[in-house]
Parts: sequence; structure tokens; C-alpha cells
Amino acid sequence: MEIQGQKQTLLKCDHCEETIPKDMEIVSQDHVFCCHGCKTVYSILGSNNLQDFYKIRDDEGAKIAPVNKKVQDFSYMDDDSFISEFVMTKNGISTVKFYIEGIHCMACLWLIEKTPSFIQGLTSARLNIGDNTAVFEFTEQTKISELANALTRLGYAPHPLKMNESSYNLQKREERTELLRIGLAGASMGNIMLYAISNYAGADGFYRILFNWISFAIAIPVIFYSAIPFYKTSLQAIRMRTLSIDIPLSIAMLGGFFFSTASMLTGGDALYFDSITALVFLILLSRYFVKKATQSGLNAKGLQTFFTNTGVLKEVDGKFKSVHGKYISQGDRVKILSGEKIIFDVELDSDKAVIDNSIITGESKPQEVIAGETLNAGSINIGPEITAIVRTIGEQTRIGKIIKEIEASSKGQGKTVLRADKIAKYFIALVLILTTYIGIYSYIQYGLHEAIARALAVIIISCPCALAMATPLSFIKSLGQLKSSGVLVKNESVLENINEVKHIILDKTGTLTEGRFEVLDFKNMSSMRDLEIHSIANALEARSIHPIALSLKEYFNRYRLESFSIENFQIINGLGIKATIDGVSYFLGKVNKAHRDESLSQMTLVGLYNEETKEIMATYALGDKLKDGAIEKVEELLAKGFSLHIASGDNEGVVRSLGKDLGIKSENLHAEQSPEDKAHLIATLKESGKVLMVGDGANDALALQKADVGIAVGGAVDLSLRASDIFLSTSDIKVISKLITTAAETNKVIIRNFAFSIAYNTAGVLLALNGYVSPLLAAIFMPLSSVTVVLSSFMGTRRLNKCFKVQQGDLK
Amino acid sequence: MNIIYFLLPLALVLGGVFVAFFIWATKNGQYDDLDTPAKRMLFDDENHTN
Repeated sequence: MEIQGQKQTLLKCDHCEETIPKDMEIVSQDHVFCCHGCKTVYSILGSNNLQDFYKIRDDEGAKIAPVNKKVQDFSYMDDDSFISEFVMTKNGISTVKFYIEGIHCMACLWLIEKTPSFIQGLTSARLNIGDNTAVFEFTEQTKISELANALTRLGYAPHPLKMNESSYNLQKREERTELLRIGLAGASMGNIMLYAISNYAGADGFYRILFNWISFAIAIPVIFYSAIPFYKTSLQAIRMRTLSIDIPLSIAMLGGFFFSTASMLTGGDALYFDSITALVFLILLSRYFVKKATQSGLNAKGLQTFFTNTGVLKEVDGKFKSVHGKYISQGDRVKILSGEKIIFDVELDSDKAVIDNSIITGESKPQEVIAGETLNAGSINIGPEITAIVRTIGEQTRIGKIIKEIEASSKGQGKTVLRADKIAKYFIALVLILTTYIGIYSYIQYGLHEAIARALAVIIISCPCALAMATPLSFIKSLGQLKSSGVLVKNESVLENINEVKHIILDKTGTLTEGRFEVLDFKNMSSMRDLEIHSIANALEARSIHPIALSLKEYFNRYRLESFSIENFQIINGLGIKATIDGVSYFLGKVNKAHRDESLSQMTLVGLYNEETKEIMATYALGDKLKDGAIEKVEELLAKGFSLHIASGDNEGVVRSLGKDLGIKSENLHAEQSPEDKAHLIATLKESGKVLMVGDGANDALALQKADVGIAVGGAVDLSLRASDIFLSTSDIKVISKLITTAAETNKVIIRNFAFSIAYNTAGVLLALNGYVSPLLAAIFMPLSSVTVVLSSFMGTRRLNKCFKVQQGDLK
Repeated sequence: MNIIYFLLPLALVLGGVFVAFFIWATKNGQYDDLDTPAKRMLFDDENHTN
């Protein structure tokens, strides 16, 4: 393929089909790619005869995101403490379950399930495309870290889900029981209807009695098996001295059943078997759908094991020996190899180290540390190997404390009670009081039998059914639409919180920007070819471990460069590097003021000079690019009247210039924020209104947990993914305004549903009060009110429908 | 109306059989994943690709 000729037209990546920015293509044989990630995936697929992936993808018309390659260390997954929490072993076969980020289409399903054909020891892989979880079975030959690495190389982000034997079986049993309860209630409802309608239609004599008995028999499993969850929550509510919609439901179910039975035995006519089974079925079903739409299994439990490591090199008698992390105690001297994750808070013993400290700062920009300074647990050594002295371990480390706090606050939280449900409580109280009143009144007037009949009629006819379904149904459509556009809501009640949000805090790196410190611009000012320039610069940087050098080398990796031998290598501190190649002396480093390009003022400029002529040959501009559409997005949010904040671990200057570009007030810019600072910021802002936090890094996790609404954006690390309420599987933050619209519109639907159900309720109560009590009335009233609520929910609102229609257009 | 003595038990038995079948299928894990099998069946078999 002639690259030279292709340069004029726009190149498209052969893997993800994204347009490649000019001169950024990576060429390999006959193909072009936008990044190394995509190239890797393409070659993995090619070498394993899995090119069908592209065929299936094209058939589906789906779009694959470019592979975001982040350095990740999965070695903790081979540790015993991780295995005991997340892996189930039975008869020599181990099972691990991952939530897989980055599932787009059927091609992904196909690829994931093909992994056993090229990962050693993997015996089976099953993906559930409904909730994006995959279960992998493997023998002893496979290391889980290797499996996770393989998935990462394919462009997916695996997040382990808790699965030891007991919890796995428990969850499975619970899910199946739930389905059984619904199925049984549905079948009973359908069958009872057959006999009930016959009776309403006028069956009499023997048939009527027979049909009553059959209805009674069919209703038994519904009342004593399917309806159990209602009784449980009612008892819980009573114990906690609150009101729950389940209380009148339980009274209606149990009371209706026993009264109908008594009525049947005494030859009466007040039989509600059909209505109460329908009640159980409809409410169970609506709750099941909401649960299905929110369930993800990504909770904050077991996070501590992510910071363990099997092999730690500990100094014993002057030699370094590999020992398990748990045998390390304070004061031990350890060696940390290049690329290894540090799992303790340590004090650096070597002269210098370069680390990726994104866990604390959120910045992927490499950081330089000098002897005596502290390295936090969770940071990765990206320079050469170093030695260090362990200062604190386990829960006492800084990250350990943060995790502990996240776990603690996620435990205490539970589901917040929706305001709608709070209003419903008053209504429930009203119904219960009315019922008692009618009961007493009828008892005085007409006697016991009539008192029970009328009181029950009020409860059953007053249709708690519609009321109980009003909120869950409203969520189903919104949650479904959000899910299909890549927004996973882990807890539906936060949608309500979104409506009251006043402050929005945005993380900078990875949320507003791409989160990679990389070469964004290259200018060749000499007469040499680009490749020659790169070769020279590469040779100069070869020995340097300076953060900028590491980013430059990453950039050079994409080219096939000549290697030169260098002489007179010299590091000029704070300025750059000087060396001689083929008799010519070069300097690579800080750019003279005269050569600065104003348009690149926010980036770090590195220049290549010819030392003899002092002439500039080329410049490299490094920086972290703003995400596409970030500016429009921020403007949109500002226009909606939110008070917008930026909280970043980056330095003042960068945050300030970014804030200026985005039009955010300078007092709302918070730079150099540690994870604890961000959490503190949220606590302060909470005093004046609800806070929504958007972030991605481990340093945002605590803040995401503390905020009223925590949103983790795509590519987020496990820690923040699990601490958040909402998780965007795209890194496109434009979705956030959709989320805000959806939340507002969902609220409207809830209110509308309430209006309908309360109208029906009032009518029902009035009828019952006046003595119009008959099972037929209930049999007509209940389905009617329920259907109204269902229709109202699924029609949504005009804006809700429009919001997602536009998006579908975007995709095409 | 005598036919009802035949139809009624038949309807009940049929209903019962289906419920029993549903219980068996659920306990057997047939409904553990409601989304994926519908898509999985669309893939070609190993040998027929290319």
C-alpha cells in the first residue's frame, strides 16, 4: 500500500474504522491503524484465524471503539486472596466472572466466546450480552492475570465480579426463584381468569361452586409462594416503623385470600381470587424488569484484594528474594521491578524513580520521584527497577484508607427512598385509615361480615396495584434507552437526585481530556526527512527516563527507525540532552523563546537543535488533548444553569488555562486536588445543593461515592467504576446531558402515573364507600388502572422519545 | 354440557404440565440468560466459515 499517495485522502483504521488524524497512521504490512491497540487486536485476530470478527461486525453495521491502551497490572488476580473472593473452583475447573466493558455488538459476543481457541488452558467462555458479563472456565494452566491481559489486548476492559461458590450459588438460586415466582403467578392468573370470567358471565349452580374451588386451589401457590417477597418487605417496614406500599398490598393479598375462602365456604359471592393473583403477577413483573435494567454486580465489596500481589522482592541478608506480599512488614527493603505495581506506601531508597501515580493524582503523565520521597500504594514503577523501604501496609496505606471509606459508605447507604415513594406513603396511610374507618362504621351499621367485606373492597378496589407499579414502570423505558446508549444506571433512585443537582464537578484528565500525555504535533523545520529526524531524536532519548522522554519514545515506537550509536551523551539538568551522532552534535530539549508557537502554548514543546549551527530542526508538542465535543458539552451544561466545577490533580496552570477555554469561573477551578481533597470539596458543596460528580480515575473514587450522583466515564478504573452510581460505557461525555434530560422526563412520567393511579384510587374508594363492592368491579378496575399506567409509562414523553431518536440518527 | 367433565380436567392437567415444565426449565438454568442464546445461534458453525 502506497502511504505517500494515500496521505491526501483520509485514512481509516482497519480495525475500528475511525478516521486517522493526519500523519498519525501506523502502517503494518498492507494495513493502516490509528493506534497500537488496534494494530495488536488486528494481528491477534489474524494470527488466530479469527478474521470473521470483521465480517460479523460489518453484517451488524456496528461500530467498534478504538482500543484504548492503558497500562494495567493484573498480577493481583493471581493472588490467593483475590482467588478466594472472585474465583470458584470445582473438580479442577475454575470459574471466573468478569463484567466486560466494551461489548458493542454480536461480533464481540463471537470473539469473546472464541477466546478458548487461542488462550491456553481456557476451556469455555460464555458471554451474557444482556448484562455484559462473561463466565470463563479454565484449568490450572491458565493464570487469571493472563486471561485479563488477553481481554485487554483485544480492546475490552475486564472487571472481576465476586464469585466464590456460596455467593454464586446463592445469586443463581435467588434469580431462579424470582423467575419461578413470576411464572407461577402468571400461569395462575391466566388459569383463574378462565373460571372467574365464566362465573362473571353467569355460571351457576354446581359449576359455580366447582369453578370457585378450582380458583381457590390455583390461588394457593400464588399467595403462599409467589407473594412471599411482599410479606417480607412489609414485616421489615413494620419493624422499622415506616410505611411501605407493600403493606396495603400484603393486606389485600392475604386478606383477600382468606376472606374469599371464608366467603366461598359459607356460600357467599365475594371472591377476589382472580384480582389478587393478577395483583401479585403484575407487580412482581414490573419490579423484575427494573431490577434487570439496573443490575450489574459491580459493587464495592472485595476491592481490597485489588492491591495485593503475589511476588514481592524482599531483601533478606543483602539478597532480594521473592516472597508473598503478606510476609512484608514495616521497614523491610523491597525491590520494585520496571512495570511493577507498588502495593505498599514506600519511601524511595534509589536516587530517582519514574512512576505512574495516576491513582492519587489522576494524571497519566509520568512523575519523577527522588530519594526519600514517598511512593503510594497503587502507583506503577515505569522507570528502571528501584529499591524502597516499606512504610505502611494494607489498610493503613493511603489507598487502603480510601477503599475502606468507600466500602463503609457504600454499606450504610442502601437504596435512597424516592420522593415519589415518600408521597405514596401518605396515600397508603390515608387508605389504611379510610379502611379502618369504613370497617368500624360498617361494623356498627351492618355487622362483622359486611364490615370485612367493605374494608377489603376498599383496599382491593382502591387499586394499590397501579400505585405500586407507577414508579418501577416509569423507570423501565428510561433505563432501557439509557442502557442502549451506553449508560448503565446501577441504582435507579439516583435518577431523581439528578433533577435536584445544582453543582456539577468534572474531573479533568480522562473526563474532559483524553487522559494521555502524548505527542500531538510534530513540525519538521529542516531539509531532512521526518524519519531521519525521528531516528536522531530517538537515539538521543534512548537512555533517558525523563517523563517527557518516555512519552516521546512511545511515539517513536510507531515508526521503523534507524538506530545510531551516540557519543558524548550529556544530560543538561532541567534543559535537555546533548549528544553527538556521526560527528554532528545535537541538542534535544527546551525550546528557545523565539521558536515558541503561540497556538501550542498549552503544550509542552521539545525542540531538536543542531548544536553547531544552533539551528532548530524540528519540534514535538506534547500534551493531553481535549475530548471531542467537550467544549460544546460544557457550554450546554452552563446554559442549563448548573454551577460547573473542575477538580483535577493537575497543576494550577493547566487547570486555569483549561477553565478559561471552557468558560468556567476561576473560583470554580480546583487544582492539585488529592482524592481526599475532592471528597472534601463535595462535602462543602453539598451544603448548598446536590452534587453530581463525573470522573474516571482511582483518585475520583472516593468523591464519586460521596457525591449525590457519581458518574464514572468509560475506561474508568475498577475502583471508581464500583464506587459510582452511574457508569458510562462510552467515553463520550455528551451522554451526560441526555442523562439529565432523561431524569427530568422520567420524573414527569412518574408524576403522570401517580396522577392516574390516584384518580383511579379515589374513584375506587368513593365507590366502595357507597357500598358498590363486588369482585367484578375489582376485576374490571384493577386491570384498567394498570393498563393505563403501563401505557403512560411506555409512551414516555415527547422529549424523552426525541432525545433518543436523535441519537439513533447520529449512529447512522 | 357433559363435555365439560372432559375438558375441565384436560385444561387443568395441560396447565399443570406446562407449569411443571416451566419449573423444570428454570431450575435447569434454561432461563439464566435471556438475551444471548437468541444471538448466538446466528453464528455459522466452525467448518462452514470462509
